[in-house]
Amino acid sequence: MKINKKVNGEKTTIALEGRLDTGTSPELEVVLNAITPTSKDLTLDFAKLEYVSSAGLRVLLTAQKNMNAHNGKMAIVNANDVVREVFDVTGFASFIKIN
Amino acid sequence: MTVKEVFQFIGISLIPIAVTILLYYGFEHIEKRGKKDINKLPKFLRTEKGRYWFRQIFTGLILGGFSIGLYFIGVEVKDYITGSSDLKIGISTFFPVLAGFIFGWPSAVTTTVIATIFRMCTPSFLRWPTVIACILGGGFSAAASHWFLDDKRSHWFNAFLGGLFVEALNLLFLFLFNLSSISDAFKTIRQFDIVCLLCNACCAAITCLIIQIQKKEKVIVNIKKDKTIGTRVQAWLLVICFLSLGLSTTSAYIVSFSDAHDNSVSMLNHNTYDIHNDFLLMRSQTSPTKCTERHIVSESGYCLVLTADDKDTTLEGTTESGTEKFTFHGKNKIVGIPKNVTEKYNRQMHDSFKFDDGKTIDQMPLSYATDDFKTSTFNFFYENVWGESCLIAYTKERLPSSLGSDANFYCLTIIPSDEIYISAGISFRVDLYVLILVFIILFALIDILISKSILKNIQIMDTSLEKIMEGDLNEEIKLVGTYKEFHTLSDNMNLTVGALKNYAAEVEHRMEAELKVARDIQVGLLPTYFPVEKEYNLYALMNTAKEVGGDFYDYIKMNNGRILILNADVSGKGVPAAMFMVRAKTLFKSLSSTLTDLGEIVSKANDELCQENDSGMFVTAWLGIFNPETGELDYINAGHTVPLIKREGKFQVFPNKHRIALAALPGTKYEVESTYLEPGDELLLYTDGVTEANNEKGKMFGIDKLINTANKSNYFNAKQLLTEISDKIAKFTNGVEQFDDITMLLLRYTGNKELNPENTLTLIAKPISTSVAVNYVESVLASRELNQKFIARISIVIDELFANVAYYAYPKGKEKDVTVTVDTRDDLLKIRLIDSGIPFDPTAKENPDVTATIDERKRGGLGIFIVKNTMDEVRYEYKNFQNILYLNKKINPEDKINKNE
Repeated sequence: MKINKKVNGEKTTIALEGRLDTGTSPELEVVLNAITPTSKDLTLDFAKLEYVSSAGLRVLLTAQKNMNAHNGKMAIVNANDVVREVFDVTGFASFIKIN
Repeated sequence: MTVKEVFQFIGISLIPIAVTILLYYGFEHIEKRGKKDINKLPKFLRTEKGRYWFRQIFTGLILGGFSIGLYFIGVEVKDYITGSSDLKIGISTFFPVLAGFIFGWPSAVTTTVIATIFRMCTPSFLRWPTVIACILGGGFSAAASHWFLDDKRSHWFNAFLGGLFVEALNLLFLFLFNLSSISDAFKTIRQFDIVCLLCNACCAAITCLIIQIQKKEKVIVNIKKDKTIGTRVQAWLLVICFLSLGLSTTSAYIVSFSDAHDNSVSMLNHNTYDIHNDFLLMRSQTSPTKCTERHIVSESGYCLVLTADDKDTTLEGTTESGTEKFTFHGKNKIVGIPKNVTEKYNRQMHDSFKFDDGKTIDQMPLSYATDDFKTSTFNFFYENVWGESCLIAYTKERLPSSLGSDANFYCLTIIPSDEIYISAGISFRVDLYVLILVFIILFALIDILISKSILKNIQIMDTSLEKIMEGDLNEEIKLVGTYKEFHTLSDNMNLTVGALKNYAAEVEHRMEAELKVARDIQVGLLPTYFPVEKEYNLYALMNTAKEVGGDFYDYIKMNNGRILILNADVSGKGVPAAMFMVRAKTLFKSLSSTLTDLGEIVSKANDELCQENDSGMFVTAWLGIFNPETGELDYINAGHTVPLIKREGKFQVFPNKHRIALAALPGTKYEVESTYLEPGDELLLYTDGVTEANNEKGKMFGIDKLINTANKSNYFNAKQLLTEISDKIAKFTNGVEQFDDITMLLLRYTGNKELNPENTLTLIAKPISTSVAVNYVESVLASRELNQKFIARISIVIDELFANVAYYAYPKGKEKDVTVTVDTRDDLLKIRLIDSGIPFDPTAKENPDVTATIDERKRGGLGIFIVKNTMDEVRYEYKNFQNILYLNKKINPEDKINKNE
């Protein structure tokens, strides 16, 4: 998985490419742990992400919690059907914003 | 008998009552003691027979003894035959009756023997008649006790009649034995006969009544409530007998007495007329006249002599004691003949004659004869003369004035009532006794006829018919007695029952034959050829109950190569169930030829069956469509028994959702469940006839026994297992009639192809290998022209499960193999994940709460939850020390790469 981070003022965009699964989640976790405690506006671009497994979901859950802690905004954009499906099925769509 | 004597007699009658009752309760006491502790009784009383005979002989002896004793304290009456006045009248002859009616025939016989022997030694004219009456009475009561009362204690009314009978017999013999001096016998007997009759009868009745009341038996029959023929007939018979007795005796009494009276009156009139003529003759002569002899001493005893003037008249006449002279004194006087003459032969009186009550003739209601004697009427009246009632006829004479006197005087003739009525009285008495005897015999005979033959036979018939009504056609009516009518009746009834039996057997036979044909047709509809294919084989078995039932099974090869199997049970039994079964079976056959979706087939069939189902029948069914290529199995359980599935070599309950039975609710949409059969899996369908087969104790075979039997069996084909189960059920029920069809169907899935080894990858179970496994599966799926979306979904599944194994299956540093196999043939994705790590069933993990908020979220369970959602089936098995995860998913057309795009 490739992680591309772009910072534009207060807004941070992280674009993921590949799979967010057991093997790759720890990488993302490291990246997000650095950003989420302080970032005011975080966008996760999933345009090139194939799927998310439960390991990935856990990382995203932690990130959202961190963002919520200081009222930071977090959103997922360009998610494909498979990712959406997983979010819907697991109920994550109710607390992680997917545009 | 005076009133005092009557009371004396009644007093004496109380003695036998007291004695009998004392004896009766004495023996009751012995019986009670015997029941309590038999060993306290003397040896000879310890058997029932011993007690019976002791009681009979003992009571016989005691009553016999009292019969003797009571002879000496009888009431004394005048004996007209011998002239003595100390004839003793008692009720000694009565004891045999009591003995028979209370205790039994041996007692009666004993008493009779004693009384008879004693009586033979007594003097008096009563001896022989009493002896004979004793023998006959005792014999009668013994016979009545044995045959009429069946050796039971008598009802008081029967005892009353018995007492009456024996005494009437006794009295009748008194007459018959004294024919030579019958008038004296009559005079003697009439003193006591009525009292004797009533006392004897009442004495017997009261004795029985006292015991009956004490025992709280039914004393008076309520004819309105008791509507039995016996009681009715007895009551009417009694009324008729008493009416007849009353009527005949009354009419005999009236006729004979009025005849005797008329004869006497006419005889007296004749005599008076003769005397009158003599008188006229006498008066026509001036000198004192001698009366004709006959008028004084007539044998017939009616005589009168009269004088008309105050001269003394001397008459001369002959009496038995010779010629006597009588002198008449005074004018207009009738001079009485001296008593010694009148007593025996003559009666005579004049106007100074005084009757017993002190009245003179003038004071009597006499009237003058007005005219000449020839035209004048004679008058008569009854009056007591010389101490007895007499009939007196008279005429009043007026002397012709030419005779110088206008004096009137009476001419009377007289006869004692006794002499008038004695023969009437005798015939009335004899009539009365005979009628009592006749009516009692008649009553007894009719009663015996009715109760012993007719009623008994009716009762026998009733009992037999009741048995026949209850269905025992083997019952034979056996009537008793020699009456031809009853024999004909019982023969005819037996013939009727026999014919009925034959007919019933014939009908049953025919019904059975017809039902068998129906059965054969029904069973013939069921497939008897069972396929044995490479991928699967199946066998079904149906043991039909005697009565036609509605079980059926079927398998249908559908057009798309799938197989529909079904096992069903129509509610109810008999022809309707069979016909409904045919309807259902045909329906499934036709629907499965056009439709492929099981849900649709079942829902349609349900709608069809709901139509025109007025009888409210329904069908429970288990239906499955399986793909022999893949083992995929869709199924619906419509209210049927839960099948067994054999997995990992063991039969177990195959849990499935219960839907409503077919034909119960129109419009029901039946949802399909599905599973995958692995090679080696087997499915056993059965009807409730299997689990509910019960033995003689009412215990049911049950599902546990079914599972055990199936698991213990070493069968090598489907037929063998089903036969073994069927035998086991038969052994269990042990001959108890089978009430329901027993139907079973076994599907054995052997599978045709092993998983392609080319699609198998074995890795060391380390987290680092996860992506390798995912990549491998992706590459396999990509080669099968499946689209990215489908592959991504499966990748998540592999990622989740492999990671799971990698992290948890083996202890760190001791990681071993994990094998992933992928098969996509026949549009079915099958993935197997096999490791030999510690047993762990990921499917057992509880589903996470997907509605929880972010803060409520807990770790864990998400991965397997996603897997379950993605795959059609996720099944875990631990087999041969291996964790095996079966993952199945149908590949739909939209999952493939669209080549047009």
